[in-house]
Amino acid sequence: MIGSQQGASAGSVDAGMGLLDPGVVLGIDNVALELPLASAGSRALAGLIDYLVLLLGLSVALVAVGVSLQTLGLEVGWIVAVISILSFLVQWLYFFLFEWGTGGRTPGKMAVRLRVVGAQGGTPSPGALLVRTLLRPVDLLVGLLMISLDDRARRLGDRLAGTQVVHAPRPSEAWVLGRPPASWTGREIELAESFLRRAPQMQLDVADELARRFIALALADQPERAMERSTATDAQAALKGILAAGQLSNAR
Amino acid sequence: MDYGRFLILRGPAWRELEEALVRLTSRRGHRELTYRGLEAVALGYRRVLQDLAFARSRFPTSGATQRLAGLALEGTRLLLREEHGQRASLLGFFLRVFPAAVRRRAGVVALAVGLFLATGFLGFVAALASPGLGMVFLGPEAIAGLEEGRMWTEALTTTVPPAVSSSRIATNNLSVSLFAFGGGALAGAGSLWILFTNGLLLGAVIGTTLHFGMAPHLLEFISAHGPLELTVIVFSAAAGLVLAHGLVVAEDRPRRVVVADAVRDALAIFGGCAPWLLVLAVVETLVSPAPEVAPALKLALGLVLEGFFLFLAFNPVAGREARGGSPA
Repeated sequence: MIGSQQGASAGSVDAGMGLLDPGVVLGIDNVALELPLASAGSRALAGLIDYLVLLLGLSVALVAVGVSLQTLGLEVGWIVAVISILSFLVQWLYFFLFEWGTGGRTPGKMAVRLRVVGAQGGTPSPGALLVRTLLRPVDLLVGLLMISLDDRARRLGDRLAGTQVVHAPRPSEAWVLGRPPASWTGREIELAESFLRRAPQMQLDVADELARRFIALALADQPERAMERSTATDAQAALKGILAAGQLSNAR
Repeated sequence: MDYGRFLILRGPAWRELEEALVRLTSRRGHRELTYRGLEAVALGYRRVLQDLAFARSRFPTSGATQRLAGLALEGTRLLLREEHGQRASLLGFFLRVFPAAVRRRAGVVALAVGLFLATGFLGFVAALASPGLGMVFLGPEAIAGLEEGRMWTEALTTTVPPAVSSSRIATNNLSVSLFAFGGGALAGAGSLWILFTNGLLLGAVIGTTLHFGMAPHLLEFISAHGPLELTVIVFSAAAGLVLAHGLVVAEDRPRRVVVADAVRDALAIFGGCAPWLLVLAVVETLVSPAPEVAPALKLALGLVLEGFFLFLAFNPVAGREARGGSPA
């Protein structure tokens, strides 16, 4: 860790005072960072998955523990006692242990690609994760309402713990042109990147036609890149080769 | 600088940071990180933030800006640890942080103890004045048993194995303490509910058993775990009331700061109680229902546990430090 922040920091105070948009925090050198806040819907879905995992996992684990203890010759009373305490601990520690051990994610959050972060977008402390876990039963009553009303979609536990839930980066969707033609302005570059991002959802013939138009534009400016075209299998691949386009690799 | 040149010049540094962050996410990468390596990551992160600011102004919707924004967020998450409360070792927590929080919030703790004792006294007096009240809390079967000189607690260990009943009681007490703490977030309503109901119930039960001449049997049953259990529940409720204080009471400091202070102290108080809930679960499972353990030994254990907890909570050395802390 290169830094740590105690309590409310400049960015969160600015956000709290309404100087910054919700979900925007100030990083080093006052560079604004936009946190992709998770909405009530995705959080409810993650919660549902978590409680299903908890229910199923706990049932299987308790049956396994019960059978094992019986095999060891333990009395029924003791088996019930062990299972009862174990079940209680698992229910209370499930969220805390997962969020602590996996950098703010539970199985439900992993499935919906969500993550718990601190008020500044950093790693929340174990204490903060414990607070939001301890307040979860209260949030089962008021959490969804609070998420809907809060501008940063925080439930009560998040407010008190100083945490928020954000979308984890998507797997590489955005394309970056490594070698755009010199005459292209920002507008043309953005159009090409946007096209490459959306091309998989387009009809193949439409996508290929658009790719050919981009190729024509690029080669008009730099005909020496036509070599890249000859080795490509289709128009989209040729365009990617000519523009040296690559996808993001920062998704985890 | 045009877009292509920007990518050519800065792209390698972004890839370098991406690779460093990937290494940081693994335990091995964490272990192998040297001080020099950490400095390089920090420098790379700072440069990425500068590049992001530049890209936003020159190429706002470009793929590079998206890439840098994602990289900056991931870097922030991995490199910034947001502290919450004081960092201390386990020993340091119980010797300094916990008692200091109790001292800082002594007024709220006293309020919780006072409310519990007052409602307990109310229940006790009401049960003595009107023995029928015991019926409401204990039910007709328990009252019929008391009339015949039998404690209803015997049924707890005779109808089901002692381990089963004790573990149920233990998990129930853990739930009560957790709700006493968490219920504070509902403007204190949950914590007050726990204090009132538990105080009233205890007072009424003692009053009813006294009425039937069975109070010594009740006290013997609860002597090993009761004192500390009730104290832990009251302290947990006090922690909940500290949360409520931060949420509800107006101060001249910003609400965000007041709430952060309240959460820090509430968590410290509850953190000082939570491990005892596990100790109590063991005592309730192994000692309280065991007929072979002498009543005097159970009482001695109960007093030792209670004394040790109160010593930690009101540690005078930590109290001196607490006066320099933030106001309650």
